[in-house]
Amino acid sequence: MAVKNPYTPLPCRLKEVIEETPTIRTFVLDSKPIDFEAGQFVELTVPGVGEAPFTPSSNPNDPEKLELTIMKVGRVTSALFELKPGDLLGIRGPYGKPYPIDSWKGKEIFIVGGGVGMAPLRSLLLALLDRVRDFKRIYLRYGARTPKDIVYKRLFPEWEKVKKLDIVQTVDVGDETWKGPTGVVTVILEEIPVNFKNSVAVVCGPPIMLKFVTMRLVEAGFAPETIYLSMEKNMSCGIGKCNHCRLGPYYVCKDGPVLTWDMIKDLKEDPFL
Amino acid sequence: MRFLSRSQLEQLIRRLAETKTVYLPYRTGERINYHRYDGNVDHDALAGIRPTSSLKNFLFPPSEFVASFPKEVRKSIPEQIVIGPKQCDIYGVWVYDRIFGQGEFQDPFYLERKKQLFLISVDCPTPAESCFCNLVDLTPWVEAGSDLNLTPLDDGYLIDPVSKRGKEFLESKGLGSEPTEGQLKAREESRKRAMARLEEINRGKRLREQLPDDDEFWMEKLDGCVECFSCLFACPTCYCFLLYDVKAKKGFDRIRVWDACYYAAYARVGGGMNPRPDFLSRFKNRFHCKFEYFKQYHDRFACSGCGRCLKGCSANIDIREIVWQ
Ligand SMILES: Cc1cc2nc3c(=O)[nH]c(=O)nc-3n(C[C@H](O)[C@H](O)[C@H](O)COP(=O)(O)OP(=O)(O)OC[C@H]3O[C@@H](n4cnc5c(N)ncnc54)[C@H](O)[C@@H]3O)c2cc1C
Ligand code: SF4
Ligand code: SF4
Ligand code: FES
Repeated sequence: MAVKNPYTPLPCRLKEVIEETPTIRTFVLDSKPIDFEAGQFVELTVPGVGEAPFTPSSNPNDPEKLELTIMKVGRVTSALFELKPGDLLGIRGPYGKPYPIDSWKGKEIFIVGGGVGMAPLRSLLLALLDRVRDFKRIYLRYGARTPKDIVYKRLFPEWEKVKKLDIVQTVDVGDETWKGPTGVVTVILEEIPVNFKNSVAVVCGPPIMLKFVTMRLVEAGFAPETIYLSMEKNMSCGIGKCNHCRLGPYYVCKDGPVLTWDMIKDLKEDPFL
Repeated sequence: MRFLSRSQLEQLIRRLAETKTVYLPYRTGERINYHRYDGNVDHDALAGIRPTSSLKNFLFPPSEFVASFPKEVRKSIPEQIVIGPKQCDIYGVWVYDRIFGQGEFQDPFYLERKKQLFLISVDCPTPAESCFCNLVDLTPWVEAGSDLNLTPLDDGYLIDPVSKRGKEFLESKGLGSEPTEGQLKAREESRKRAMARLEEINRGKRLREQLPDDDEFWMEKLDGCVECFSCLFACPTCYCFLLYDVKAKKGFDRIRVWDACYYAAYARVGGGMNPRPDFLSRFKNRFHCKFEYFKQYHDRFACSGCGRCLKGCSANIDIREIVWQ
């Protein structure tokens, strides 16, 4: 056949599984079967079970491995959680558009994550830190349900050391170990210490969080075209054909998965459903 | 352009069928459908309206084996000739070309099927009550998109080259005779009559500037729908699909199956959130998809006016009463 078959996954193997939280694990592949840029996603196959879209969580500049941080929610993700190091997986991609990092030079970057939404943001953060001099300042605001549900606990201490990176975390419900703020992520968005004229905001998390964070960011002063939102839609093909991911006139797999607020704010459909 | 008598066309089809698989329309009762050539040509069916099933079945079949793992899938797609598609189905191919045959990723199975499919379209001298190709700016005859085109006349057919390979085919065969003035005039009149009939059938229909917003309008329109989804599966411009994996001896096979946006699970995401949880929102979405979103990308509607969705509907839901007024 003349054109490449876009439905065939490449084989790859699982190298390591890291337990992040009771329901979230990081799956480390033994190689980097495909190149990607921060924000792009892949279709991961559990052989015989099916495929699902995920955004790699590792540094796109890492030539050796690819990691995915995944929450167990249903059929494919449950099958993934059964796998062991050495098991075979399929992967195809990368799909979708990357974050336009080059266009953010000289700006302040305000990142807001919720739950497993930290996965793509970690990949973005690592890519930004690789060229941290290009940006004025980077902020990370992260919310999880409880201290147990915070992903990358092992990595935060290292990130806290980066001078240009300002991190605040919150949990909905604290426990005896928790010293930080409590409440949903918007409680740590009351103060947004950026110059809105020269900043972008990047948000990833569950739809309800996305909605309230977007409202808050708009209210605070971010222009709609500077708010980058990861839209989770049902996806099958990942390549703009099957129509599953459609949101208004967009194929989220092809035009996204990150869309700016100005692209979706006036749609007939509620983008956060 | 050449003129073929009925028996000359029959002879041509017989010759083609000696080396290739040929499909053409046959009438059974009220229904016209494609069948493998059985030695006869149903001239009445050829001059009728579009068959019950469309070219979708040839180019984008209900299920197609598209990948296997860990070994790459190999398959050969046979050459086929379909005689009889109407403008509304040729337009469906145009829509599928935008989806499967363009852009960064292309569907190799669609492209191969298309390459192997030789299309001989036929004019519609007598459009039916369910036809509305004129409302989507199409004519009931084909000038592009097929390989050859036939115009049925009283005593035979005019045959025109449409594609490059159609032209080569016609030149290599030295078929029939030079058409007469009278035959050319007969075609012009037949086409004019067909267009006039479509205008009569769809008289007074005006495209809505915008699809209405209020739920009451849509609730009224979807009344009686039994959610059989035949309107979607029969539609030559619907293209939704799902990749479905089945376990194989070693690894798995991946099948591309037709899907339908009316299914409750269609847009549901992991964990159970659903952007279109009720049938009302899914019903609306179909019209937005065809008449707004597709148009924003491709400048035309994803509807060819073939009328299959309304013919097959047990609730008599007529798309013309929704998109037009
Ligand atoms: C661009 C993108 C990036 C993402 N990144 C991440 C990430 O980094 N980490 C993460 O944890 N999550 C991520 N997600 C979410 C993740 O894709 C879902 O959690 C995942 O698809 C759930 O799959 P599941 O089969 O376990 O869930 P299920 O709830 O079982 O299935 C999800 C959906 O798949 C469909 N489906 C179910 N069964 C079948 C079947 N047999 N055949 C075909 N379809 C079926 C259904 O429509 C169902 O609603 C991302 C999503 C998108 C769109
Ligand atoms: S929507 Fe109805 S009339 Fe339009 S192409 Fe599909 S089946 Fe034909
Ligand atoms: S809709 Fe038009 S092209 Fe299709 S069968 Fe009817 S008259 Fe022919
Ligand atoms: S996932 Fe198939 S079109 Fe986007």
